[in-house]
Amino acid sequence: MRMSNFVVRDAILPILTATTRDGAITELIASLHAAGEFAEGDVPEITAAVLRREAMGTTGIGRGIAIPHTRHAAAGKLVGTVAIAPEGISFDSVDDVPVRLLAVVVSPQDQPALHLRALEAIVHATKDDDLVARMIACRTAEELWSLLP
Amino acid sequence: MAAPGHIQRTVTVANPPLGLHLRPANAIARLVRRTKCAVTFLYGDKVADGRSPSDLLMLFAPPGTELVLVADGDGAAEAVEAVVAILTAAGEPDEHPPSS
Repeated sequence: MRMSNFVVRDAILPILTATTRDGAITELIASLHAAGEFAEGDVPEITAAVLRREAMGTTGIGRGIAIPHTRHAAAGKLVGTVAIAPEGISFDSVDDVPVRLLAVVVSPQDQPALHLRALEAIVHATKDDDLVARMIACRTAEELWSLLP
Repeated sequence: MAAPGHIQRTVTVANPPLGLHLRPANAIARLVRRTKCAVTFLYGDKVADGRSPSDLLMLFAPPGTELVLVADGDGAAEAVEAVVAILTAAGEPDEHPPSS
């Protein structure tokens, strides 16, 4: 699986406006909805589910990367998007590095294996420090999309 | 003060259903960072620094995976025991339960 298999191009946020962890998550889910994913009535609950998962333990994996995620009944398919926080957002990551690259994943409730594969695709893609740096330097959605593996 | 040492141990990942996924990876990284020893994970040709969640995640270790832990320094034995406890946990509640 590759990130480009599930990242919704129209939901990519090259410059997040949120400056907090919860604000960033809210903005990411709203962006997916604006791109045509999820019914409007499901957005608050999906957002709450991602926030609940984050409260269980940070999805920051260090090196300025976070992968907020959830499985949810309102997700008919695996979707995700990426966003850049140029100034960095605290996700309480173990290395204390502020998060600048976020990749959110929302997958169907009953497909944990698919969900795990999506998270693994992100981890695999972001193992390249140079690629991560180039993604963080992007200022347009097109630039970010072109870099996605 | 914990005694320094070199410990090498093979452990089979449990923690069903997902094994060494994001939460245990972060838990291990936080634990190792609190110690004064170095903990390295070996799996095939992969080498992961126990201080790095992304390193640990890139082991892609589901339940049943055999990992070799190598710890060196002060408190190595205690660190290995604590890491093994995380890796062999009996299981976790679903992180994404259905909404009620």
